Amino acid sequence: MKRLIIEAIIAVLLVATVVATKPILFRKRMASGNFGIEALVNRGKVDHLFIGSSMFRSGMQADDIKTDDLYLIAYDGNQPYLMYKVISYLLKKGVKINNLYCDMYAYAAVSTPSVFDERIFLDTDLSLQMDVLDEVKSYGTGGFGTYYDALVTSNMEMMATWPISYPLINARYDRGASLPSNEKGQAAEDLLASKVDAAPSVLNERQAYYIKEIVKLSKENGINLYFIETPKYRKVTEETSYPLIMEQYASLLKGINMVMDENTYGKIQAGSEVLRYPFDDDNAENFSDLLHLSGVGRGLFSKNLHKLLGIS
Amino acid sequence: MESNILLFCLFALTATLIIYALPKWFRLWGLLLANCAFYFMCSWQMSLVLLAVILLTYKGSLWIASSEGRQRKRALALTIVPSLLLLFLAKYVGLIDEFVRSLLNLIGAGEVSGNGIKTVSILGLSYYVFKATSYSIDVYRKKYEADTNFVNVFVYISFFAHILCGPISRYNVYKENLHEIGYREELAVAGIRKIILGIFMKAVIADRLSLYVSNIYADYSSVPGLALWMAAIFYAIQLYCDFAGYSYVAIGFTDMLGLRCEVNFNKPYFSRTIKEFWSRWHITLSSWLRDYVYISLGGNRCSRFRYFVNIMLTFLVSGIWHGAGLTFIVWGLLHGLFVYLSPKALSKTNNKALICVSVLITFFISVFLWIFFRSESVYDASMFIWRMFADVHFDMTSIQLSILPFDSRNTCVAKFMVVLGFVLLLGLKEWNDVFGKMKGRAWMRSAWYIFMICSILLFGKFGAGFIYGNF
Repeated sequence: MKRLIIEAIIAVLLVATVVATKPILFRKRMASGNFGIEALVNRGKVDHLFIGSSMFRSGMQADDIKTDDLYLIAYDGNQPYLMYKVISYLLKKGVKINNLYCDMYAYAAVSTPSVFDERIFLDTDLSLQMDVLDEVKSYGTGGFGTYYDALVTSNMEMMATWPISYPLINARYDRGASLPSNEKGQAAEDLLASKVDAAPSVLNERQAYYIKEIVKLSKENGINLYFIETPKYRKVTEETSYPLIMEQYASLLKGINMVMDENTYGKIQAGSEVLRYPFDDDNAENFSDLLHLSGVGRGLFSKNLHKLLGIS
Repeated sequence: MESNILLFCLFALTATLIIYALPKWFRLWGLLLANCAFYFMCSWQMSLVLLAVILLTYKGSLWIASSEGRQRKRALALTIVPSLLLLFLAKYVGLIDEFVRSLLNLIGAGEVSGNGIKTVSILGLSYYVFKATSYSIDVYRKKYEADTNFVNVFVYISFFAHILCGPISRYNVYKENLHEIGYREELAVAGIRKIILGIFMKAVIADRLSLYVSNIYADYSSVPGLALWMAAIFYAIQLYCDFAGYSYVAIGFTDMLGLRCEVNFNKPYFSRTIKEFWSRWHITLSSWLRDYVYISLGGNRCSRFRYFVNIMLTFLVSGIWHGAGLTFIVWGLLHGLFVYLSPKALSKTNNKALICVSVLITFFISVFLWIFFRSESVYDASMFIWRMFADVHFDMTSIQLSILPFDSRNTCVAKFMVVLGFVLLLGLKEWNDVFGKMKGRAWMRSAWYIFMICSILLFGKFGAGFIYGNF
């Protein structure tokens, strides 16, 4: 029994060492990477910051933009509460932001606060991590397990395989945005056969609160704020809940710049300040699934968007 | 609790510590109470079924013991048939109902009204009915006396550590230490080590593979052949780590309580033939089928043809026990065929090259047969296997598409590499246990346990159910 207890103590000490050093190691190594929060903190300033979900990541490329002052931060299923926390974290770290572009993703705004993408714990310090976890615990469905997963088990695969996996991932990004690709989307029949996930049609209270907080934070820091809707396959925007959510979302953003798909815009009563872009959202070639753009779709959308926003 | 290894361990550990603290004379009662609490918490609605099987087995076995001749046979039949019938009905009535309805539709008898009979899920039924049956048959065969103490029989059949997925332990092994329940250092240490190994296999390997395997099996027609090969091999490993992992945990708690039970897995993927595989995989079920089906049919002391029939019937029962559906029957019969065809010479050879080749061949036979076990239908299984050969390419796109289902584009490579690393390490450890020369070195054993504890804490995935809990 004595031997077993010694083995257990050694194991726990080893685990504690890994957990304590993990964030420091990641942050140090990712400071010079092509993606992530720490690389942006290391830059210190950014002219155009895009922050959003996987729809931003799959929907945007930066190859046609010469200015280096552009950066994209994207986490799967990124919700308004998390966007707010990340923006405040960046500001606290002294990052100067001129123009901020937030993902106007309907389904994220109706969800209870949660973390879909554990990479948020990859290169941020404990202050942001605890802030996020406290929010999830208080208003979402997280318990002790969420803390344990976030602080102990998250990103362990990345850490264990770092010399191979990190260069592979890092090579896929340019200033946080995806690289251009000619990858075509799915066949129309496959997309039409896919089901749109059922979602509530009313904005979540906490997410609505943080949307307003993002607006407030931007005003306080003199940041030009835009909310951008990425194209979704027509089947999604024709769902009854989608335009309903977008209507509520847009009503929270009166007086704020919004960029929306013409198709969605036609279905809701948004303000006149909305910048509208045309996109063939009935063409399956542009989509890798119902919500995400394919390489071809990304190229088309990025070019239109940058032109519309005047970023070159 | 019945579907989460962490909660199961928490319950088992609490119960074990409470039992340690009880006075010796009350520990058996303590275990009885723990069994009742466990079953009641997991499935209180079905507690009466368990109680009925226990009562029937207890009373029936006393009747068997006091009877002779035809009366004894009748007593045995009346004791075991109701339980076995219940097991059959619970598993198959839904399928039979569906089959009859389809048949009536096919012959034009029209649509049969009503919603049909649903298969009833009774927690642990397959396991406790087999334990109860083995007890009654052994009493009938005069292997041991019928126990006159109801509590002993109750605790044996309802033992919480074994009721979810076995092992299907035998009464004589369990009875040996029944009155020694409590803390015994040597057994407790061995038990804790088994529990660590079990959690490692389940939470670090099996549950890490389950998402990938489910993704591929759900959409096997649209992924490359390479992904199908990976999914087939990973399913074999997932199933082993899931079930053997649970068995190690269950046996570990049995040891901790001071009881003993049979080993349930012994490095099955290092078998040289399928016959040997069945002496290493789910050993308590295999030996149950051998003792109560195969030997009852005549075993191998008969003509070659009858021997073949006996094997096929035994594996047919094995298939039926595993589940309602043609896939399980085909899986069972194919195993029967490969057991029959297993060359005896291979189990005696010392030729290392031959041993390696035979181990590899046996592994891949089991991998292919698990495809039937995992698939929704025999057609799906056949198409899956066909596509494994018809659509194999080793280009970059194929490799990418085969690894992608592990997770998102960003983390799939890392997740694939980590799980592969764990599988290879476990394989290496088992290879060393079976063929290696580094056995018994204390520092290596300690290093292995430290590694497993660290892996559980840093890489453990908890929350998935037990695959064999469905049988």
